[in-house]
Amino acid sequence: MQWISAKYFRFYRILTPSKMRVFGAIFIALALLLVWRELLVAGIVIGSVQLVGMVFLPILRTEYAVMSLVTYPIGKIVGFVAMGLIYFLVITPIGLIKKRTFDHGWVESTKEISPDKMHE
Amino acid sequence: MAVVLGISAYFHDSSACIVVDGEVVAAVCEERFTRKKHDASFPENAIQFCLETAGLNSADLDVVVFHEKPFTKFERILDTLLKKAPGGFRPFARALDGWIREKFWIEDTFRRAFPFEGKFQYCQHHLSHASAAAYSSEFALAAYVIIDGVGEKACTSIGRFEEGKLIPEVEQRFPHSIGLLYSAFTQYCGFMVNSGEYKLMGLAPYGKPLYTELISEKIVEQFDDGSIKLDLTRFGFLDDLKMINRKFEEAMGRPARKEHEEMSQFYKDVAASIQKVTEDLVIGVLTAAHQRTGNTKLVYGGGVALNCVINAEILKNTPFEEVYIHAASGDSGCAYGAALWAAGIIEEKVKAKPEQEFIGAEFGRETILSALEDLKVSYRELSESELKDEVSDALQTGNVVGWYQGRMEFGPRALGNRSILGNPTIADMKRTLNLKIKKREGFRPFAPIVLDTHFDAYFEDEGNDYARMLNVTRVKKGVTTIPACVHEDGSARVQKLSRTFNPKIYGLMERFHEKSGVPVLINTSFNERGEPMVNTPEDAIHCFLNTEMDVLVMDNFVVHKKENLEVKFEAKTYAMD
Repeated sequence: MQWISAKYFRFYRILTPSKMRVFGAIFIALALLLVWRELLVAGIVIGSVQLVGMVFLPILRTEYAVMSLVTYPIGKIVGFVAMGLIYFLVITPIGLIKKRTFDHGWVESTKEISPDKMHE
Repeated sequence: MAVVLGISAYFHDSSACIVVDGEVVAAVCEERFTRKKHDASFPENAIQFCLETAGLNSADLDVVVFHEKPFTKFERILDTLLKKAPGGFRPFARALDGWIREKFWIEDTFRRAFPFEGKFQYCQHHLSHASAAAYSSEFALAAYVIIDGVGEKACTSIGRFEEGKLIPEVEQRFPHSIGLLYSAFTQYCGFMVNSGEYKLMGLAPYGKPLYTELISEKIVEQFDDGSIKLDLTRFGFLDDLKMINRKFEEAMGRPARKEHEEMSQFYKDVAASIQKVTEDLVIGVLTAAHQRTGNTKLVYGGGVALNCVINAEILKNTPFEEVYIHAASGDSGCAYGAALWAAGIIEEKVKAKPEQEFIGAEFGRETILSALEDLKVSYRELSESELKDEVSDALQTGNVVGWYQGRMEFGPRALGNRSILGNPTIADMKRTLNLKIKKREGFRPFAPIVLDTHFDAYFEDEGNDYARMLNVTRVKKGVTTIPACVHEDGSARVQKLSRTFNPKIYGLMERFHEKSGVPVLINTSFNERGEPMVNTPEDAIHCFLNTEMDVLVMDNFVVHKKENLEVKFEAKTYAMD
């Protein structure tokens, strides 16, 4: 329960106000789509909530946090499966044809370290 | 004016440090603000503190430098996984998640959090360690040696420090690491990796080094050139989330101790053995460094340099004649080192001073007063002389005193500004401190602090630097008056205090000496187990109320527990480390 609560508050705070409004705008577009498809009640309810939320951000934040919390386990599972596919279908075959030992002993260090490089 | 900000994050002990015109202005660990011990998160609070202390904002920064090269580190992780595939899925999943979420994007994270148009740069991890030690030392020419778990790829590095520049020579790469070997035994003996290593060191004097040959035969081998080779089939860290595997346990003849299991003599002997083996390995590396560089002065850093028992052996067992170790020689000092390294590229001269330990947060009289008032704590404000009298009287009668003064220390050691003090003449004081406040394992010692003028009367001077609690020494034969701070083997991790280093606690100790005849106190960090060292006055008051500490001294304010038993506060339990 504590974990869920911590996650909820993390999602609640994670977006800046401008990004939160972008989230709201996407749902307004969805509401317009519903109205266009003649789902008037659903479109008006969803659209109204977003419009109020654009002014009173806690509404949008709550909506975002709840949706993120619900989709979190799905994301985790999909992520895990995707990582498994990458690891066993990409990494493992390359690894099996590479040299598989770790060298020991002293090696010369890079003498000139460039401060601008993330890799050297 | 050149302004450089150093940051370290995403492993453990995140920190920030600001250097203005080549001079260190402030440095602090993120854990002191977030109150999460060894916090590894992006050090937003620490950066904010550094900027405020320097009176600058992020737009004034010329350079921001990260303590390591992220892509090089990721390449090493990927290379390890390629060599261990199809094993190693669990570390892969964990690593990829962390790297994709945050580690690749340190520059973006910084620029998002702090408006900044300047250069974002990257130091090497071992150069960060080396810079912290080299620029803080007074040496013009020296060899440097860095030994830790692992940086990007290097586990041990040797180089030279000449005319303000660091020149890397050679390195021993992952996974053949002295730091990881010690961490593996830390886990084997039932302690947590990255925080329990000093417990293993504290446990060692209770055992005999019966297994050194076994370890040297089956687990690690050192060659004449100082390099080492681990038997990688016995370690778990290459393809699992554990340090050791079943073959390691088979080699040692018993399974790993579980965290809360009773500490048997076997594990004490193992602790003594790995301490001795590690000591020999480090001495081997340092001797090789001397042969390679020809220098007689050494700057030494990395996590292994926090092992104060090994440090005390360096002068005795290597050709080096002088050694300098920075107080934050572990990863908490990397932001400090990275900032000095980048400043060393821009500036002619970098001006870190060897005794510049107090570069953390400071809270003035008004802030302390306001914290006391807000929490409705009964207090008295005393003159300097009254304060020394009252506190030394309290110490003499066996009270435990929280001592909160001036700027906070940078690094893991309390050097007299965020300290808990006790009377070492009371044999039971170690037990009292443990019961009332620290809740540590019973085998762990408490360190003494001694007036420099009386050091020789109590402790053997083996020529080491005793100012920063980085070396142990032996308590002199016949000294029986300070039983509470002498370890099982007659050693002590002593702090030799000079007046210039910390005048306020020096004054207190002089008064305590006048009254008791003893120029020694117990000095342990101001926190309880699992809690980072206190930072703000509120943290200090909370720690005082949350434990059975008897007296709290903040600036010249004195608070007695017996007068504050009814104060309401939110009690807190910390996860044991």
